[in-house]
Amino acid sequence: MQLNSLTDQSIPFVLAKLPDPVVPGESCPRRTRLQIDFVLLAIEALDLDASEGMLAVARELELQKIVKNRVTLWRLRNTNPNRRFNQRRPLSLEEAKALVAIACYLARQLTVPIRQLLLASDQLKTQQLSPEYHFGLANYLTRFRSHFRSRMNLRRTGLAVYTSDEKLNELALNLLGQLLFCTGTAGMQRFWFSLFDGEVE
Amino acid sequence: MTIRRQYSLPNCTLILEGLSTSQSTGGGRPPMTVLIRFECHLAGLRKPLVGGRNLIEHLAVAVSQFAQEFLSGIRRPAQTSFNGQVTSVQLQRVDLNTSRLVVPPDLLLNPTAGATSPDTDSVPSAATVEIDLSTVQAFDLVEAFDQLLSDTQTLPDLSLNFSPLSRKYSTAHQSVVGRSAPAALGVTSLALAAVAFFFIPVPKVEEPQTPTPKETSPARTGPGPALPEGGGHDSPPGRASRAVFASAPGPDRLAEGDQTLYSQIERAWQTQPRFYEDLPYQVGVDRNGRITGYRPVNQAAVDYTHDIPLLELLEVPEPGYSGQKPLALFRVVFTPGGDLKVSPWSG
Repeated sequence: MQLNSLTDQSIPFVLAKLPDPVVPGESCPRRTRLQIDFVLLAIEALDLDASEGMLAVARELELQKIVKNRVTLWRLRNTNPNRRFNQRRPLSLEEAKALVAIACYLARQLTVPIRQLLLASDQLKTQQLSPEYHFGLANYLTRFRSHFRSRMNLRRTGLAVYTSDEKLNELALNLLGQLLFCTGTAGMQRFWFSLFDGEVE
Repeated sequence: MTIRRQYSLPNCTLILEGLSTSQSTGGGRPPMTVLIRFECHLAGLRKPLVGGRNLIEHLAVAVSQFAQEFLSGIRRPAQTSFNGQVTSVQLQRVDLNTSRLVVPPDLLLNPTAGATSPDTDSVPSAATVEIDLSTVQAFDLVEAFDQLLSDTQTLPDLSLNFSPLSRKYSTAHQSVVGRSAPAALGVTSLALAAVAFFFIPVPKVEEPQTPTPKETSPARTGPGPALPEGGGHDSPPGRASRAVFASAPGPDRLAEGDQTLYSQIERAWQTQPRFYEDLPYQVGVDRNGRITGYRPVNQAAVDYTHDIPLLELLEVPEPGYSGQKPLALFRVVFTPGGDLKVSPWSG
């Protein structure tokens, strides 16, 4: 892969592979903001140090201009319309790309536990046992449910379906599968394009 | 000289045999430009999928489409393969843990056919291959293909190519979760409201009066500020009912309804408008000023229905409200400038 960053200093190299979709207002639709935040939530449920990790990765990928510090990261993630403290601000395409890059980079570092937990989930399902029987899986699901309930505005009609532990577990496992797809060779591009399915002309 | 390339993952190995028609050697790996034989080994399949160019192209399209569907949760319509034909391979999610791959026999060769035979002379396979894959197995298949397609020295005319799904396909192909969420919400809210209202004692108040079109509660005398209870914040089902009035609201009550509805929506509308024209909706409210339904009036309103907060404000009417029609209708318009206009619906 050639290093083309010298041709345009303003775009961090890691984001150059993510083209701008044609969306109105050049900012992210609701579903995009929601999905990015949920994926980051799943990462935090997997790895206790993930939130520090996000800032460290932002520095490593030279994304500090976009994700300056913890407060900025919090603001960007709170553009998710389902958050309790939803920010009345748009999420720009560049900011979304930065979050996507951070998410995929962290996901790749977590490839082994992601695969292990998905395999465990499969085996338990085949044996018709609940996820509680696998320590790592039970921990992931418990942390995910706890983060979700403390951060999301549960009175939002879009979240009404997630009232039970069972439904939240399903969401958590679905996101775990999506994280696996983020770890691939083309994971970052795939994830990026998927965020705009149904949102472009 | 035959070139052999292999892309291996724990649950999937792709093996390609082919030739290079390129003159340049470049000092590196020679580019494989002609495919003679393609094998796809999958965990769970006793024999590999064997075929030629057709198989690899159809699989590549189906696998890539599947990966995007997995990530977005939105199903795509059948896409064309590289040579303009619709892919006949199916790879679709069946449930949370399982995806099903179906490969029709016309793409397959008998796995025991000789490696050097061109496609048309090899023994075709008789049967459709169908296999269920776990999420990890399905990912390994996707990743193997992504590695193959990213390799510019192997079949360089095949490459990764994605684009987001167009909006016109998404309404017809919305995920099952997306379609069932409003229904699930309705049933859940109604059940909760029914349980909560069951415990509220019957109030000992005067009997409702005979309904007349212009009758209003005596306490409300004209257009004024929003109701003191403030219809703006989310009210969970089961809250104690507000003052009851038996008739359709008169013009004064409608004016107050404007204010309550306006406050509700204005507070919930938290995002910058991304649209360029006014979005009009017909909004129905119940006797307590809560939104029970809405309908986009034009195509733009349909297109941007996810950008406005009406779905989030939607509430199930209280039990005993048997009418299909809302109590009052309003015209609500969201403007690109961020203004909200609420007025009684006059058709």
